[in-house]
Amino acid sequence: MTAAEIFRGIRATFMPKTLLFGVAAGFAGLCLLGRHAARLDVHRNYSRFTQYTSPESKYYPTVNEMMAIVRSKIKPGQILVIVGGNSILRGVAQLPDQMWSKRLQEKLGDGYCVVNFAFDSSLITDGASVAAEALRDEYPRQIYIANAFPAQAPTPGGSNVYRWVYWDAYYKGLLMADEPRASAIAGNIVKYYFKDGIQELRISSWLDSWCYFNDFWNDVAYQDFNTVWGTLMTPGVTRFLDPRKRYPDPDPDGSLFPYDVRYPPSTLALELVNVKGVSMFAFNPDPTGDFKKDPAAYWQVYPPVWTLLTDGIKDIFPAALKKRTLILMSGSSPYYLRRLTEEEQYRDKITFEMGVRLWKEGGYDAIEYGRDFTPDDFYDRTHLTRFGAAKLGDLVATKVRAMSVELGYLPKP
Amino acid sequence: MIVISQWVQSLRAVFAPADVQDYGRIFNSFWFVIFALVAIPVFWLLRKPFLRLPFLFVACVTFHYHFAGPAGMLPIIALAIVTYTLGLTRNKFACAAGIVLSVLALCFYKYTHFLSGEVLGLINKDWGPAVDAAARKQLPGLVAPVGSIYLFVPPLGMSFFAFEFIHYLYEVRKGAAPLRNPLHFAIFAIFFPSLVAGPIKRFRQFVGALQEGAANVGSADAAEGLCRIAMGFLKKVVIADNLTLALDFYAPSVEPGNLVVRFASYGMVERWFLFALIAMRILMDFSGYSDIAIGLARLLGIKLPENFNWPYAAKSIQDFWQRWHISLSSWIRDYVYIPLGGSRHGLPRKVFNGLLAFALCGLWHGPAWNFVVWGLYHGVGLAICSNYAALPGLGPRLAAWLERQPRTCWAFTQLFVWLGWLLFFYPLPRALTMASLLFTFK
Repeated sequence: MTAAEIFRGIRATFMPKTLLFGVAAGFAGLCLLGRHAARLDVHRNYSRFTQYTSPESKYYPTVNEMMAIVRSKIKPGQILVIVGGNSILRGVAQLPDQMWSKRLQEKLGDGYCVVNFAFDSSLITDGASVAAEALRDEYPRQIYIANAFPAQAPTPGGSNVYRWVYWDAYYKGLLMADEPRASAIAGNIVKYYFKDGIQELRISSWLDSWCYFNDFWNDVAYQDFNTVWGTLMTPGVTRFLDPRKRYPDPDPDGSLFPYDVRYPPSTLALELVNVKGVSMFAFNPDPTGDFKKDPAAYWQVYPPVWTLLTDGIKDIFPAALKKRTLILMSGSSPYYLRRLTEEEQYRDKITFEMGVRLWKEGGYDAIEYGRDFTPDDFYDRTHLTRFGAAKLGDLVATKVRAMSVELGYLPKP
Repeated sequence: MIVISQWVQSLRAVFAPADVQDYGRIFNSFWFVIFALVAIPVFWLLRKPFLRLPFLFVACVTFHYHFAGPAGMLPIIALAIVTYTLGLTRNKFACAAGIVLSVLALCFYKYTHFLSGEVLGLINKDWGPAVDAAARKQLPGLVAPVGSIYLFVPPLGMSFFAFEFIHYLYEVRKGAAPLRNPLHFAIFAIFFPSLVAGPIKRFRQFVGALQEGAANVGSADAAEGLCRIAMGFLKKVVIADNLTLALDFYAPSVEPGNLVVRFASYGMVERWFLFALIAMRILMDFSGYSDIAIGLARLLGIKLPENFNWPYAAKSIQDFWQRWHISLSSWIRDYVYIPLGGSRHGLPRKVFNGLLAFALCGLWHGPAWNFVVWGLYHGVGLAICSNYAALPGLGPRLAAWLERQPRTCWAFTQLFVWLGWLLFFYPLPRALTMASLLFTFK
């Protein structure tokens, strides 16, 4: 037998096993790197998630990523304030320095750490609430803030777009065991979600709880090179390869836009329908579309809408987390409100009052904002300019301080 | 209690039928990852063929049930039982009847909407919708909403099942020994790696490979299989899926008014770049999926036939079809072109047979006219390519010259093939406009 034959024999015997061992070792190594990445805060000087770090461009921040951001920002002794909710609280049309949550931080001072995890179109139960719950033991002195519209029923386990964060935390064992919420989510899966990718999401989240591939790839995509093409990353076919950290925060200063851009006359009629819509489904309409009033001239509440809200409020969070949750009822711009009839304005007002009342009765804290703002404070029907952001920051700061005392985080003055 | 309920929920999620019917994503679904991580190591651990084969059958049934659901599985089971039984008879008439049944099943499940709307509807505007509605009523489980209309969703892998059953009965009819072992036939029918996107198997070759794999699968198979799967995922997920997203933006298949606004707005270099990307996308997508299928089978020790062999290196149309989707082109050759008479009855008949075979090849890819046109385009190309040398005068000289110009042959072949992809992906008017824009220097 020649040396070459011996070598070929050895190669034939060991090479497949070596390769298989290499594959297994490589895979295990990547899993370890994923676990390591899960503890790193790659978003240095984080202010908010932008289009380039959100599902709009196929970037899905993990719950570990959010927790790492909090850990790197918070200082010992600070009360944690996590902001969730939708684009209004994300600070659309505000530069990073003008964000309402930055104003909130300034007003609250060093005793607090405000972190904004709001996403466009997200709900109360989406990513930020999950991150806050996952950090409940590490930072028990915490307040969670999110926004909603009156009579907007919350969805247990998160909305369709953002529910990955819930399942991510669920399979990593970061959430509180809560039977009512588990039942509500199971009911929703049967009723609404089953044909909508929930199965794949849950399997992937379960696998990720072992392998941490989402943390690994988010780390790579943010710091080194992106791997998924997206329409936002144009022009240029290959620009998508740039790491996400290179993309600047794209939100402009909305207050610089002229009125006819912020409040286009062409959409006035549509926007008025939207403004009316906030209250129009909350009360019983008669066949002509007007709202029924009882003999004492009060509108009759339309039970299905409010029952959905009160039922939803019950189970979205474990009881222990409800009282540290502040719901902001996002009002419409007075530019539109003033164009409603007096009666419509009144109905809008009582709808907001009822929304606040029901959230409070459900064990949460809630306030309304926007009714005393000016059209200059709004960028459009709902989003705020830097002027509105400052007002909201001031308003919420007062409320957060009061909550901190009520929750026992701070001594009574 | 809560933990148990969570586990029950998780198990229900794993064992329920798939909730996404995107057949192009089966191998990159997380369900499939779990399935493969369980099924393949168990197959290895069983050691004995008499244990491995029944287990493989159970795994194939699980896979098929998950992705096809009961409504998609039942027609295949029925067709498989009929095919198996008819094969056992070795009766020529019975086998022919089975072939007809497979063809009818394929037409019914895959082409009813197309035939009723695009063919019957042209003859009589009432007939098409009536046939379509009647068919839908019969099979509500296979009708799914696509946008605002309801379309037939053919059973998963219907085209592959039909072609493999036709091949089986055709060979048995010609005298080949049928598969007597029902387990062998069942695994041949629903072998999970090739169930979604081929390669189209031949039963004698497959059963030999199956027995060999069940007896002798080893670490060398596993290593080769893993390399092939990695290559497939690289092609499919990293390259093709990104190209699909980018091309949907830069060269969308639908634009208002059937215009070609976006493609027309680019400069000449960008247009040709996108043109090349369109060609790369389909190669990477399809060959990537084939690589995953071949790699998965190899993990079980089973060698599936190759489907691609550097098709963009082809120097003629004939050469291209010996390198592109080899299992389909050889199937079309063996079971359509040759039975029609092939090249045995003179040039006109040969050309006609080729055109018919390629029209069917196009239609096999999907029930739409653009696929038929794409098939005919290749049929014409092949007819010219294989016959021009016989033209009196110029033909032999041109053939001799081209033989000395392999690069020119390659360039013309690839230009022809790549222009064909425009017909494949875009409606005819848009494809023609895009093709003309490639040569318009304005």
